[in-house]
Amino acid sequence: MEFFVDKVFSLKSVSVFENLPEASLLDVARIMDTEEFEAGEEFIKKGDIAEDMYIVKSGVVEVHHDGSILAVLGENEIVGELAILAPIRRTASVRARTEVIAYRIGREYFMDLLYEKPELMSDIIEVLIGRITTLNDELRRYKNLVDFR
Amino acid sequence: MVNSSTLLKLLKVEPSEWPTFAQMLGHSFFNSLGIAFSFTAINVLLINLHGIELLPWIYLFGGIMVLLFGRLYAYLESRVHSVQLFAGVLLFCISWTLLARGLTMWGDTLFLLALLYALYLALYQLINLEFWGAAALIYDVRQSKRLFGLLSTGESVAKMGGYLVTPFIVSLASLSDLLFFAAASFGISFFFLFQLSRINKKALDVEHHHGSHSHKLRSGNGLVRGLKKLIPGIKDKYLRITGYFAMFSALVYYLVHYSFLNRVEVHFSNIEELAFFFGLFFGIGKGINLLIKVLLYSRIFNNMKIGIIILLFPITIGVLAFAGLVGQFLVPDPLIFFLWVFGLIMLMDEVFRTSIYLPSFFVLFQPLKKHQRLEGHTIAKGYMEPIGMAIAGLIMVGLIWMNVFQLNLIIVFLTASAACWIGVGYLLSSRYREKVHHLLKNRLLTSSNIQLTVEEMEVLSNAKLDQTDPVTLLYRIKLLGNQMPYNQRNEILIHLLKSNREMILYETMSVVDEFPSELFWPYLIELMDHPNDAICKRASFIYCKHSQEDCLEVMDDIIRANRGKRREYHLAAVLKYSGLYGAIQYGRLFLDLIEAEEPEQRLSAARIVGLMGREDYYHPLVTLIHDEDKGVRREAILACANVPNVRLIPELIKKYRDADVSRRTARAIEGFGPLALPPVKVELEKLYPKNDLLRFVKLLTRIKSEETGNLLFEYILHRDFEFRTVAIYGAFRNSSFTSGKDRISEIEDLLKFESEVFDLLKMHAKIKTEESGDTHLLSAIKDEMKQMKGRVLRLLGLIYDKHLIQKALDNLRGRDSFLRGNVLELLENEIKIKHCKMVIPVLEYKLSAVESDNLSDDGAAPGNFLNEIMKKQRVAVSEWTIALAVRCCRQNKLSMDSDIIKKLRNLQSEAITQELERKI
Repeated sequence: MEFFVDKVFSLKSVSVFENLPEASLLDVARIMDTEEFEAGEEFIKKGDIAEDMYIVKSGVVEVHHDGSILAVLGENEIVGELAILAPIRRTASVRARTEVIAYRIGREYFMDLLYEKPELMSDIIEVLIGRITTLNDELRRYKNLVDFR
Repeated sequence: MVNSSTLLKLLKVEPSEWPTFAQMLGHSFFNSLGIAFSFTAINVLLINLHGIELLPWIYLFGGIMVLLFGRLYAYLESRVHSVQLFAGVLLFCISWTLLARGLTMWGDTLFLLALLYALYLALYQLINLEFWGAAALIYDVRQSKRLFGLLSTGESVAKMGGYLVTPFIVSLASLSDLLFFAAASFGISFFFLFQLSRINKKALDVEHHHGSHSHKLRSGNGLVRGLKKLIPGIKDKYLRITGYFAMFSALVYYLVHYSFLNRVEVHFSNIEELAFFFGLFFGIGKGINLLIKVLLYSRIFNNMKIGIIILLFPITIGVLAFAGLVGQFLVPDPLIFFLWVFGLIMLMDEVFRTSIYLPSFFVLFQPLKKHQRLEGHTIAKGYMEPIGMAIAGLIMVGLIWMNVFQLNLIIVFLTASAACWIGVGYLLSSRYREKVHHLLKNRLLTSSNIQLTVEEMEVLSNAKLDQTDPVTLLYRIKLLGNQMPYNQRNEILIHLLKSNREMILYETMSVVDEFPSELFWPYLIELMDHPNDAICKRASFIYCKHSQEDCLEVMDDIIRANRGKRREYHLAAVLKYSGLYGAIQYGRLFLDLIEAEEPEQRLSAARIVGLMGREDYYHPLVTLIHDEDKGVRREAILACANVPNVRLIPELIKKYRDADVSRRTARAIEGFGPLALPPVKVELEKLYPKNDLLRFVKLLTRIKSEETGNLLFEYILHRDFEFRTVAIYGAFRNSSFTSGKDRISEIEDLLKFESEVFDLLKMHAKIKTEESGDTHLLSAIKDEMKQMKGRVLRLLGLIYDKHLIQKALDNLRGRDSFLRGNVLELLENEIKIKHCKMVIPVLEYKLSAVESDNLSDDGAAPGNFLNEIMKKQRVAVSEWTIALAVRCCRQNKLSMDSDIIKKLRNLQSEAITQELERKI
């Protein structure tokens, strides 16, 4: 049996969710499905419009692009977290290297949740603004570095 | 060293505040000791040697002197670092005392003593500006309300001690030697200032605002210019009123002071007797003053609004003065009566001025930005008080000059001044509330919250009349639309329709829609090819709307030439506006789309129905709502929000429990407004599982109707936490919810409940029991405390103006401590004290304080969190926290009452049930 409490702890590893109150994440946990993939199964295809994000619960997945492996992800690692916020195109494909059990969160369900709990939306916006600020700072730092050189 | 947390709690000083507080107390003590010695020395020397006849002249002269020093202080304030300025004031004090001691050795002429007295008055103002300036920079508005009174206990103790030891010092050494003691006190105070500047470096750093002072000098010539330099025009209304308030305060003080000394002088002839009397009188006064600060100050601030506290002292003086004015006609010996009246007023002044009045007066500046606080102090103390002092001097000099100086005339001036003081105080208390409102951030202004008068509109539009910039033209046409000549308006609109800026085109079309003309059609037809979809759509709809069936010929080519979304826009516009002809021409095409095998085409049909928004397209929509394809169903449901046919409601309600389309369905149902309420009400009465029922309550919160309020209120009082929270948030958002008297008392009960739960959570967050010591549960408890802030504020929003609460919510969201302090200040001034007592502790509590608090000092025994929380009449926390508590209880093998287990099962929470059934 999948315990909701454990699902919430898994959600805490997703950067979009890490600063959200856990009580709110319980609602997200309710819309999580568990999916199983066989070794070699490709469950994300490059170029598709992203509809879901995955949290690897067990097993190993590999992110690949044009034949080369870009990343190998394991337990509690996330695939396509921004998909739950916007319908962006997948930039790489992902396949299971071993047998994989993963939690899936669909964007539509997540959007429903935001509609029902607008206060969650403001928390998410705060997280995203924090991320933009960090990126801007990094960009500025790199720019300074380039100027210096 | 005092480090007992019990004492700190008693004094309401937080442990982190103690080091600064102790330094401030020391600083205040030695400042005041220096003042007490200086005051006694200079008063007794002057009165004993020369009487008090010339005191009015000294006040007049002193007033000008203080004004000059105030000007110098303001000049330096905006140019040097605050610590340097404060240190300069103390050095001046030390110099004055040493100089005075030296000069009194050299001679004791009237001129010399008068000069020293006037300089003492300046010194007194400067030391006040220095101490309260430092306090204003170090503490925020909330701290100042809690600590300002306590800070001034240093002053009371010092002055009381100073006045009481004065007779002994005088009997052992000479009166002038008191000035050496004063210099030593200021010297020690300097050391405390140094310590303060070391530990509060950042707080004492004020951004200088050269030339931005609101009391900038006005231009003028000669004497007028000179006077204006001394008495500046204060542009900030709030600072101006605080200034007037301070001026009347000084006027009253000096009228009383002189009259009192005048009476005292008649009774005492030798210096020892006089010194003894002063010491005793002011010592007693300060003793009572100290008792008030320790015993009453915090109670007064906890139970009264600042606007009322600020009036207490003026009203007391006003009542006594009025009693003196009337009473003189009722007593046989008015002179003795006046001695009592003025003695009593002087005593009240000594008792209340520094215990209640001054701390609350300085609190009035605390919601302002740092530099404005200092500016306010300077205006009040450095400019307006000297003016008050000079006016008092002028009144008395005038009376003496006319040979009519009598206490029965002084009491008239005193009563009138006190009445003005009360009047200005009343105005100030309302301005204070406005100021706090103004200092908080507002939501972005929109046309709905800008209300312009006809005159303002004329001014605005005339100012833009000669402009050619498209934004200005658009602005002008939007403002003046109706009043503009037909030709001129069309000319401008055509000009704007040629613009290459998308925003201009989009907005211009809305004006075209308001003032349609065939002249615009060619431009609209052209815009149907615009790369921006929104512009294309609007052009198509506006053109078809106003040309009706005439549009068919033009639109036929356009529909054939386009594909995808653009084709949908044009087809929808034609079907919507071209009547029967349009239906004949394009009805078949539309039906083909509905019946098409490809989901994309049916999706397109659903979008077209949504775009048309026509009631009579109900049947195709019902077909599409039940389509086999999820995307088509979603699009059809979305379209329902634009199709105002009530027969769609039951279909939508059926779909609402379908998780795939739930949100869109809610939006569509919401669009029907009160019409959707009866079916939703029926659903709420059904025995759905908790989560489904909760979903319908959420839907209910979005329907605006009076009856929604009644239904929601039942859920606001619900025993279950989730229902209650959804209903509170929903009722706050729903503008149709109103509270009657009965509801308010129930909401008050809920607030009380939340406040009790908060105390319980606070205790468990502090005391790490086996159960709540679990990091996850501790973090959940802290989250509950954080979430409670939003909940209690929204509950308050059900009693008070929602805009006020929304403003509080908006400003509390950020991390700006200045705004947070002002939000609490705003609430304390706008809501009832009984509500403040329940809500403010929840809002003010800092989670960081949980870690720093001494864990054993609450005297609370470690209890079982779950048992305590479940014993409450309502479920007090979220199912997440309860689920974690159950897990902790079970992991730590803590007992759970069978009654509690039963209650837990009744909560119908999967997460909790899972934990109850979990195998350890």
